[in-house]
Amino acid sequence: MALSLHLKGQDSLRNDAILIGEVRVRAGSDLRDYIGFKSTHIDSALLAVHNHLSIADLLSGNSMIHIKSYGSGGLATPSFRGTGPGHTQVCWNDISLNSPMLGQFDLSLIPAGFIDGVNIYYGAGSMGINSGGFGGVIDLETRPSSDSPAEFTVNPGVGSYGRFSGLVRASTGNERIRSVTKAFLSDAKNDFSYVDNVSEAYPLKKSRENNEVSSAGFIQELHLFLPQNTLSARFWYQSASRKLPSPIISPTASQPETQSDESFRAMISWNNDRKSGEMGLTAAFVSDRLLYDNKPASVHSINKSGKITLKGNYKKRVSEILSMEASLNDELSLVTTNNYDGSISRNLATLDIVSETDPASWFSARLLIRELLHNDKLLTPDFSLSTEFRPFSYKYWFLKASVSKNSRIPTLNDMYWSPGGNPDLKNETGTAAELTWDMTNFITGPFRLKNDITVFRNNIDDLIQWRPGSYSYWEAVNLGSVISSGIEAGTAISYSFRNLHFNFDAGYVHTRAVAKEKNAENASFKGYQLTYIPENQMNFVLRIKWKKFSGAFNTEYTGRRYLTADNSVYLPHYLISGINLGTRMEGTNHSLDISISVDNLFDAAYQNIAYYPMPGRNIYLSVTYQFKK
Amino acid sequence: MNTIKLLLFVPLVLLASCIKETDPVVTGLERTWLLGNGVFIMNEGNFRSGNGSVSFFSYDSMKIYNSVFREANDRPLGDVPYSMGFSDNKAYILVNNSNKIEVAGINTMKTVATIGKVVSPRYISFVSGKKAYVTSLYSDSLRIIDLLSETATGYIPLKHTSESIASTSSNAYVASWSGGNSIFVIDIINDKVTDSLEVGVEPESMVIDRNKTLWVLCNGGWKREHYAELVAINTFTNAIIKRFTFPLISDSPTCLQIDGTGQYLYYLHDGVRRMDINAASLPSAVLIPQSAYFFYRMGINPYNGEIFVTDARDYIQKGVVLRYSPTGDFLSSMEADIIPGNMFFKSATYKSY
Repeated sequence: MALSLHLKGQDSLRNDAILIGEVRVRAGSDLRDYIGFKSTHIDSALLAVHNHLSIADLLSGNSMIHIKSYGSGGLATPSFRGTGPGHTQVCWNDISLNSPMLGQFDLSLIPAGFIDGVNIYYGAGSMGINSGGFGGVIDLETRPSSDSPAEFTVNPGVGSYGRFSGLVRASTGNERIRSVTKAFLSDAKNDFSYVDNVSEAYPLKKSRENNEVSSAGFIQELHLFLPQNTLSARFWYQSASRKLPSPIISPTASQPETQSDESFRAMISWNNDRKSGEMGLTAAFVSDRLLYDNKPASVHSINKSGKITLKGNYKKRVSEILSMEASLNDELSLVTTNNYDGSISRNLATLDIVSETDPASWFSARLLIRELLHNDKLLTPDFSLSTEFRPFSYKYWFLKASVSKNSRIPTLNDMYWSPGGNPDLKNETGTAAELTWDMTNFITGPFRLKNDITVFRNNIDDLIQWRPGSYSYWEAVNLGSVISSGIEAGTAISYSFRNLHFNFDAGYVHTRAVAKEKNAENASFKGYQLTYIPENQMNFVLRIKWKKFSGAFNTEYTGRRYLTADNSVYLPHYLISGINLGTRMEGTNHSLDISISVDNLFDAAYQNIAYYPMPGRNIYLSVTYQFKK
Repeated sequence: MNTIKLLLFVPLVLLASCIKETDPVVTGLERTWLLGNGVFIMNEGNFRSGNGSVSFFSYDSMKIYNSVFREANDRPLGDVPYSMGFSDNKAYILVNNSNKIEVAGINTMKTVATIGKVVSPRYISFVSGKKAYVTSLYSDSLRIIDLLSETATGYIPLKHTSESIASTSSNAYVASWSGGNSIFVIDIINDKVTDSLEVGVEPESMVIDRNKTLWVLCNGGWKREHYAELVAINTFTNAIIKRFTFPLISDSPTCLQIDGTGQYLYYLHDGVRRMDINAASLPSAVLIPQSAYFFYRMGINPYNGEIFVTDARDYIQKGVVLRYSPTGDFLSSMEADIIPGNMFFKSATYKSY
């Protein structure tokens, strides 16, 4: 009963499409509310406002995830709750996109408008999707978003620093079958000006060089909706070519480093949903090709990886108060690179048994037990145990608590990179606990307010690090432990009065991520904040819509990030804001949206990674024409 | 509602409290100490982090001063400062991953020039008062530096990468370290390769002794498929005259140095080892055991014979410089910066073989 209340409560919130924290929960989202865990959703409406940004920039300003970025178009990797990029899983409709080589994913190359929703699972809530996401999982959704027989959207845009982009989307079908096609092209010189205060004793104004990026993507989806069954086929091709600018502490290279990325992703999934239970099967193939060239250094690196994923799950409600679920996930990775001694393959299989119970109207609980098989080696099982309390049956207030153990197997680079890879590495182990208080208040009909606050603590043991070994080259070793703990707080207000709609979302996260004393070597900086993990992050977005006009103002604060283990050198904090103004003209079957965005409105000079300046104030003009029948 | 208000305003209050921020604190420097005798220590910093620096140990104050370049010039030095050379009262700091050479006053560390257009510079050798050669970890040629204009002016193609370099009055000897096994002989008048000598695998470091014999330490390569070797070459005939092979294939000696008399060789191999240039075999005993340390780089003060060794600890936090007497007695230790590496000894009467 409690479980059904839990689900019904969430469903009712969903159907009302209200704002929940940073979450914009809407009908059709694939977000799963795992009992006892925090999960949020960024919907297509917010993605549309920020369609000129990358997913990395979007998350940086609209979530509690820290994005470590080398600048506009440069590598951008996510991390949250004081963990590293390798501890964040990035998925596409539940299929992991993390490179089996590096173990991380670059979010800089996907435009926000190309995705239909972003689901964020915090901490061990990620175990419902995948293993190894100590920080969490970012799940990128692509799905049909319309029931129209025919819909066509074209969205060109132009912006500062030689930015051009174009996005087209076509959707057609009926309630039985639906096709969605999307494509984008993007090109940017990124030759923004910045102040160089490191080349000379006095500041110099310069333009960023060797910073060009061009990318393209294409997605085709086909969905077949049958009674109680859904069959989906998806294909995603993406390519990017970019120059890699030097850090400003180095002279500009006459022959810059370059990188080309190309990815093919395909999946077929089948879901069966009956009263007696749910069943799902997914088969996916993800192929990545990365070419890195450094001509002066005579480095020509070719890296190809392929990952075949098979997923299956069956969930059955076995009694009024108990449901059981079994999931099998198999991931076969194949890597060919001139950086390993030959090709490498690896298989990781996981079997999950999940039990959910709701014995009382105010209480529900979930237990997940996971067994991992790494090639032919059986690993110590992982688990998560989570509970949820609803102290007042007449209020949408929830207390969530969880404990968990999660494992991350070493990346293939950690194991096989030549030189220095270490095939004998142990898994990293993460144990975590978290507590969330979640309140939604319906103050008056159109005035709603939601607050949530979470305290968390993660303990990562056998952390894999690269350090110089005995023969003058670096090698991967299990070294040391890390404790990260912190508080996340979110506030969301929505208010409607006649034609005026007002939304305000704010989030704040305080993270302490420190080395734990494990051996004599790092004992002296025990307790210091880890490098590049900000202690404080905050953001808020204010959105107002009046008749056919809309506006949004957002601000993002990132605290200081230390650059050295003893915290003696750091990057100062930064505060950046952006504004978006738009208007919409609608006809019977046509609509035209025009919007202008100004990012870094107050022209703040800041760096996300030392010696890689970020762009100052920049403008982007976007026009979206839509035909809908 | 009070709770709700509190939750609303906490982020804003925290934001306001976080706005004030100051610049990073840099260790202070009493610049007058730079005038005296001392040791420059290249702190490599973390790769691609741009936090390399130079420390200076002063014999006059018996203290170490960190970040002396930054302090003198109010700007960071760069990414992976690797080595240094002295010429005409100027210090040439080779900043490996910043692809540049910073030229600074030897007694002030005040910048004089920045030499660009060098790829991954490793070591410099001043072959005349007007010209220097710079080796490169990645480039397949040797860079020629014009010391009068402080610019890179030409190349000497090697078709190999290069590491250590040592010069006599007529030739420069360049080791092809990474994956190589050759020593190239360069005519310093014509800037031409005149000869090449096959030595052991991965010649890592070289010195010239009092008899003008070139000693080459070959560490055998990281894959441990070859034995490490110490090779002696007569620089008058360019012929190999001695060859010592290390006993175990796992032996990986590094950092060959020579004392101020040119009589004793030093290298790191499970500690500091010393060898007379006339010895008939490799030393079996360790002069300075590593004990609880992990020796990373070594330098021998040519003026007083003191032995300096660095321990980079975990390569993340600040490393340590250890100072020993010529006989191996511990004298003092000092904290440098991140990954203290090569060391260069300063005196008004700087000398080299």
